[in-house]
Amino acid sequence: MAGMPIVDNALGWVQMRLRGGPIRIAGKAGAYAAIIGACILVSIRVDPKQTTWLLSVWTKGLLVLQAGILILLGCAAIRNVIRRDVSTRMLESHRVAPVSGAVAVVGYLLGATSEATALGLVNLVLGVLTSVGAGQLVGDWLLANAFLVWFAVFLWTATAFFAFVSKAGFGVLVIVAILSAMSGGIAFVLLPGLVLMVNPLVNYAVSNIIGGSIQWGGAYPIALLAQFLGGALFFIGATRKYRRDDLVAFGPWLGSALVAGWVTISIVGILNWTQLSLPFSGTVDVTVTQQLCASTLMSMLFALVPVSAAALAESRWHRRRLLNDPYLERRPISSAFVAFVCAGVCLLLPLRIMPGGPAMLEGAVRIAVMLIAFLLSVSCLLRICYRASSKAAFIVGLWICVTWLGPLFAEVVRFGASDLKEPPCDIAAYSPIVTLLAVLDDWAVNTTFPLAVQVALAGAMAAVYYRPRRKKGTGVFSG
Amino acid sequence: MNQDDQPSEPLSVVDRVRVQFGSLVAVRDVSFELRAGDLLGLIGPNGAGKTTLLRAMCGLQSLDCGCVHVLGEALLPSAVRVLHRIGFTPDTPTVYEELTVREFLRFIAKAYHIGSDAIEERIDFWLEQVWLTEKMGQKIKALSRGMRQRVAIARTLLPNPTVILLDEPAAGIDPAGRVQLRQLLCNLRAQGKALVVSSHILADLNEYCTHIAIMAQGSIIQFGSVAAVAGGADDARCRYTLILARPVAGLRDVLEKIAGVRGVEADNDRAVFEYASRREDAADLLARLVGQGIPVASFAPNLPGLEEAYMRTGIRQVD
Repeated sequence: MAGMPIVDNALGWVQMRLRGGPIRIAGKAGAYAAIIGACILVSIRVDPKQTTWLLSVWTKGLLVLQAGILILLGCAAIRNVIRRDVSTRMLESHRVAPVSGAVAVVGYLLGATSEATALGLVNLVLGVLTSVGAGQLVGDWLLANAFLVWFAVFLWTATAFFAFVSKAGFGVLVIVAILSAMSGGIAFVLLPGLVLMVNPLVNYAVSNIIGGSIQWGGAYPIALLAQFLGGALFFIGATRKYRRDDLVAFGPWLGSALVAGWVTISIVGILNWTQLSLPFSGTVDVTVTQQLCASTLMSMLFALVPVSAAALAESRWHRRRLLNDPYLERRPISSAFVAFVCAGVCLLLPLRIMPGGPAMLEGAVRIAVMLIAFLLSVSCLLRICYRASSKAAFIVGLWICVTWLGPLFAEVVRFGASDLKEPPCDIAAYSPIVTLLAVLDDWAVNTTFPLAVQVALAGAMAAVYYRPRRKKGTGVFSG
Repeated sequence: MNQDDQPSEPLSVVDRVRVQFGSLVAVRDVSFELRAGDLLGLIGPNGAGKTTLLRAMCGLQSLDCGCVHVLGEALLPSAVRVLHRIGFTPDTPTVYEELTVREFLRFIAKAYHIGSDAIEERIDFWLEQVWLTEKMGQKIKALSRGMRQRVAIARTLLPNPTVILLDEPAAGIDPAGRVQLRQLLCNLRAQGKALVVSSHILADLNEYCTHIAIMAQGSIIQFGSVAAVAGGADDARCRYTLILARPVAGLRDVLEKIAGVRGVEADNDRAVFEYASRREDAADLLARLVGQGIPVASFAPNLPGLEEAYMRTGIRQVD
C-alpha cells in the first residue's frame, strides 16, 4: 500500500465505504446526471430556436456547479471526516497502524471527496456535450475544468491541514474568505499575493476561458505554481499533524519556506498587478506602497510560524537537558537565528519593489532594524511562554496588538483631545506599521527614536529570557 | 523478566519515560523491559498514569524525557514500520459504527498491509477467537458495549503484533467473555508475545500475569513477578483482619496505641491493620486485645494476594 497510495489506500477505501461504497456513489452520480440532463433537455424543448445560446448558458452554469461541487462539497466532506475521526478518537486508531502520514492524508482526500469527484465527472461529461452543442471549443471547457480542479486540490489540502490543526481551523478559513469578499475586495487589492493564490475564482479566469476572453499573461503560471507549492506545504503540514498532535506542522525550515513563498508571490503579484485585472480593482484605489506595506506586514505574521516552531523545539530541548535525558538529541536551531533569517527573507519584499538610490539604503536599514527587533522580541516572548506551557498564541497575539495597534490608538486619543487639523504621527511611529509606512512612503516623521525603542523592547525581552533562573528545588542555575 | 536461564532480547524497552501535562507529571521516569512471554499487569488508582504509559508505549503520547524501544527500534513519530509489531486497545473502543464487523476488520487488514489472500481467513479466525462469528455481518452500531470491546480486541490482534498493549480489555465484557479473554491472553503469552494489561480486576490479573507493576502518581511504586509482589517485600510484617463480637467505640484508638500496629482502617466492629507477621507476635497481640476487654470474634492474618499487595502500598483511592 505504501507504494501505491492512490490505488490501494486503506483510509480512502474505508471513507468510500462509509459513503455507501462505489455502487451507491455511482447511483447518486447517475441521479444527478438524470436531473441536470432532464433540465437541459426541458430548457431546449421550451425554446428550440435558442438552443445554441441556451447550451452556452448551460455550459457556464455547469462550470458554476462544478466549482460548487469541487470546492464547497469537497472541502466540507474533507473537513467533516477528519473532524469526526478526531472527535471519536478514531484518528488514534489510525495513528497506531503502520500507515505513513502521506498515505493517510491522500486517503482522506480521495475517500472523502469520492462523491464530489463522481458528481464532478458527471458535470465534466455534461459540459462536453453542452460545449459541443453550443459550438464552443471542448478544449476550452476541459482547460477551465483543469484550472478548477487544480485550485480545488489546493483548497482540499488546505482544508485537510486546518481540520487536523483544530476544530476552529476550517471556520477561520471560511471567516477569512467571507470577510475578504465582504470587504469590497480590499484584502485582495492590498495583498496581491492573495489574489494569485485564489486566482481562478477572483478574476473570473476560469469563466473567461470558456468565454474565450481570457488574456494570458505571466501571472497565470506563477499562480498555478504558487497554488501547487502552497498545496504541497499544507500537505506536508497535514501529514505531520496526522502523525501526532504535538508535532509542529511547519518546522523552522518549512516555515521559512512558507515566508519565502509568500514574499515571492507578493513580489510577482505587485509587479504584475495590472495583469491580474480584478473585477473590483477599479473601485478600490490603492498605491504600490500600501500594497508593499500590507504584504510586508503579512510576511512578518507568516514569519511567526518558523520562529514559533524553533522556539518550541528549543524549549523542549532545554527541558530534556534539565532532566538529564539520556536520549537528548542535537541542539535544535536557535529561534533567534531563525528570526534573523526570516527578517532577511521579509526584507527582500521592500528591497525588490522600492526604487533605488541612497534613500533606499537608509530605508532598507530602518526596515531591517524594525523586522529584526519585532521577530527577536517575539522569539524571546515565545521561549518565555513555552517554558511554562505549550500554548503561547494568546500572549503573542496580545503582544502584537499592544505593540502594533497600541501606539495608533494612543495617537487617535491624543488627536481627539487636541485641536490639531492633521493627526500627528510621533506616537504612532512607535508602531511597526507606521514605521514601515513612514519609511516606504517617505513621510516627514522621525523614525530613529521609535526604532530605538523597538530595539530596546527586544533587548528587554531578551534580558528577561536570558537572566539566570534557579531550577526548582535543585539549586541548579540554567540560562 | 523472562524466566529462562538465558534471557531473550527484550521486545519492548521503556527507559526513563516521563510525560508531563503542564506542571502535572503523568508518568515519572518509568523504566522496565518486556521479553517474549512476559505479561505485565498494570494496576493503580484512576489518574495513576497507566493509560498515559500505555499510550507512550505505542507512540501516541509524546515524551518529555526518555525513550521507548520496540524490537530495538526507537519509537519516534517517523518510525512507521515498527508499528506493525505493536497492538493497542484503548479503554474506549474506537470503531467505525456504520461499518459491519467484517468490513471494519477488512479495513484494519488493509491498513496493516495483510495480503488479500489471507485477509478473510485471518478475520474468520479472530472473529471465532472473540466469539463474534455470528455478528460479523452486523453493523457495529448495533452491538453492545461488551461486543464492541471484543471487536476492538480482534482489531488489535488481527495484524499479529509482537507487543500487545490492552487498556481495560475486560471492561463491559460479560463473565463468560472474561473467562475467554483470560484464556486468550494466556495463549498469546504462550506464543511468545509481550503483553501489558491495565486492569482494575485484580483477581483476573493474578491468574494470567507473569509480572505486576503498581502505579501511583505517575511512578511505579512496586514491580516484580506476581509471586514477589503478592507475597510482599517485607516478610517481617503482614496485614491482619480483626472482627469483633459487638461494636466497641474507639477501636481505632485502642489499636493505634499498641506499639508496632500501623495502617489501621477500622469501623467499630471490624479493623484491618499491619503488624509483625511472626505467630508468637500475633498471639501476644491477641492476648493483649482480649486482656483489654475487646470482644474478639475473629483474628487472622490476610492471605497474600494482589489485592493485599495493592492495599499494602498505602494507596487510599480504590477503584
